Amino acid sequence: MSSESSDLWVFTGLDGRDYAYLGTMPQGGGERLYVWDVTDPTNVLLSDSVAIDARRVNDVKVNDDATWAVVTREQNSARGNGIVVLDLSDPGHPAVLSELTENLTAGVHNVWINGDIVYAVNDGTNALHILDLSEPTKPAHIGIWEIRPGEEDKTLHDVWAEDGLAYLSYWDDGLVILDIGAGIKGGTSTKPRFVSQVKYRVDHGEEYGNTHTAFRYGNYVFVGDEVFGCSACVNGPRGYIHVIDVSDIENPREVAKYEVPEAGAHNVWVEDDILYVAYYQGGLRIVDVSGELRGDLYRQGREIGSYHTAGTAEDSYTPNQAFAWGPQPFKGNIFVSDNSSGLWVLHHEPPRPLIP
Amino acid sequence: MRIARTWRRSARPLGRQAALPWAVLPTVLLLLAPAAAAAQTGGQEGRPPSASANTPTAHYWVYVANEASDEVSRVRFGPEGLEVERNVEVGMLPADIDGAHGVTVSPDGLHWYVSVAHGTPFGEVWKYTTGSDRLAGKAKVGMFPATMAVTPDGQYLFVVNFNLHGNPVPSSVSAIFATGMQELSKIETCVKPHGSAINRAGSRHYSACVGSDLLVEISVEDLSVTRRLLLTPGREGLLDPTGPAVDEQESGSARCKPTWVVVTPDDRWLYVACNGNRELLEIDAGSLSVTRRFPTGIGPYNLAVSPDSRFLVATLKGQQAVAIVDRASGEERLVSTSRPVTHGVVISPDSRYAFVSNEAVSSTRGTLDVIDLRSGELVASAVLGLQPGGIAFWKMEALTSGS
Repeated sequence: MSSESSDLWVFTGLDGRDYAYLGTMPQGGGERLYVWDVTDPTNVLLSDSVAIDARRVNDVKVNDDATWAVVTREQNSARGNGIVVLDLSDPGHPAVLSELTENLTAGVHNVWINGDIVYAVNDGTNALHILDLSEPTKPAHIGIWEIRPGEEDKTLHDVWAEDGLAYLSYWDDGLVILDIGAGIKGGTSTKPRFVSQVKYRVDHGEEYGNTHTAFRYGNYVFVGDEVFGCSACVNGPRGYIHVIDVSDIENPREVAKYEVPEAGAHNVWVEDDILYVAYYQGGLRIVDVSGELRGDLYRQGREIGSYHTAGTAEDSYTPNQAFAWGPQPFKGNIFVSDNSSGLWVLHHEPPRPLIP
Repeated sequence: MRIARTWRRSARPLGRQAALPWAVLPTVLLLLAPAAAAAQTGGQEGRPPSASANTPTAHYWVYVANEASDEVSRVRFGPEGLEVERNVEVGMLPADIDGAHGVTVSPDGLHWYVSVAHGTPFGEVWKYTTGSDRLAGKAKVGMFPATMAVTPDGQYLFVVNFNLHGNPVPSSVSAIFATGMQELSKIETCVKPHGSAINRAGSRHYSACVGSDLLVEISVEDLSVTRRLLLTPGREGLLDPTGPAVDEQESGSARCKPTWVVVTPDDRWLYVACNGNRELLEIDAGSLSVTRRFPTGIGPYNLAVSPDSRFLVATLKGQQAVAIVDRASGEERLVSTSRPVTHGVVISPDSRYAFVSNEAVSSTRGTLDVIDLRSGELVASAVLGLQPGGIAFWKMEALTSGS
């Protein structure tokens, strides 16, 4: 990689091949989306890259039928920012189809695609902006949702949605759950309705909220907080995974945590009862989250694997230092973007029971 | 390469035909091609001055904020060229772009301040000790703090809360007790305040309002708005200082969109950059009325007046150039810069050099240019970080024999 990496998305393209799209950070790049052909995960090939006028391409998401993708822009040269829509007719060589900057000039940090609707996290308004991409060549801004309307003191960081519910990571306002068609509060994908909220404060030398990311799996939402600059941050960021029981969606409650003492949590993914956490300087962590979750999962020995995603002086920005950014399991392997060292494809064999 | 244009003493806007003919520009670019080409290579840090007649007789230091790489560069210029002495990392969240936007140095030269635009959600101003470049304090302010100014006694720091990307609602100027970095007041002014200047007397703070088309005067003693001047072409005039902020829709289609204000050394005149309609305005600081106006290039953005009062220099953000105006004659020269999106400018205390920051585009690193105000030549250029914008002059040290 010629630049620092940000978030990734792995999918099967219309041509039947598998691809990993990877965003870039300001150091060394920030203006590109890299396209990797990962059909053979043991022989990853750089297929193409897309130049986008930005200094950071933080997030990329692909729609369900893999016909288009949305790329976020921050620090655009003309301060236009917003999103860029890519045509994936040829997924190995995506082409810019359109862009939308209206009401999104501050920059978009993260997005989520829900059918033809795109939810965009606006860096300036700290609201969830709702975009209509029923015509991907003409994306349109159709509305916003925000906590505490009219008040400035809030920060929206991420959004994830499925099964009619959206999970907003609202920093000091915690996890906010919206009905976007689940039939709970009468919300729709274009007119969300508030369902519930969980706020917390954690001690990292000082108290923080910093709800950063959320992922729903079964009766739980796995919520990460991100803390930089704290007095406990002696070797980098802190923050951990809060396990929120949402079996009663209107009364969610924190029931467990997974905390690596010496590192800070970033993005997560859960699949087949396994939690994957890109744990910044702690690398990739793999955690058994089967069954009922209560208490301290780390101390319970539920961590079943880890990988230090550090590179060398030749192939990374910070040698020998992992800075894992985002994980995604895909077809039996785990794809991990590391900010410093780029894209990793890992395979994890679950521990086998001992046979005496 | 000299393009003359005369200012007109008129409150009427001049026609577009008075603007710089585009056909002239290639000549300007061609003449400056060696300097521009040197910077475009990306690898030449500190091209020495081009001719012996232009050899500096002092060392000069500036601080430049690189907005997209969250670092502040300390750069020295002298006979040996430009040298980036240090890059200081700033910002709250290393995983995000926090946006180091404005930078200013206290009048005694002991401290520099940088505004960090994007917090969660409020921005901050960080205070450093010059030379050691060690952090000396922080203050949380408003949304997207941008340009700053320090009172002559160094006691108060004013920062405009630009709120560039939020809803177009009235924002504020934060007044900070600089010794302890305590915010004393948020003075509500207008929509999207930008540009910050304090007069030599230390009695008045001025800011421009991109969203409201206003120039706002604040009493430093009372920390309150004393006067507001509407700058919309054809509608100029004083408004009720306590009246509502004018929003973008109300102020009309032909708009000044002021991005900068600067005070002359004698405190008698203010100059405002009308980014929206390619004009520079001269304003009588006493009556707060427009006395001269003239067209300039595309996107005038930041301004500086030379300490000897002779020159007004404007960066032309949309034209990759600066305009150098002789205040007495009204004659204007355009000088092309090394990279596009020309942003900030400061002038050395001896009135000899203008230091100009160029943001560049996308992931291309920006530059710092040095322009000799006497010859109108670009004499040095250095590659900095990503999106260099805010710039402040620190100090000048005369060369002694043998140095």
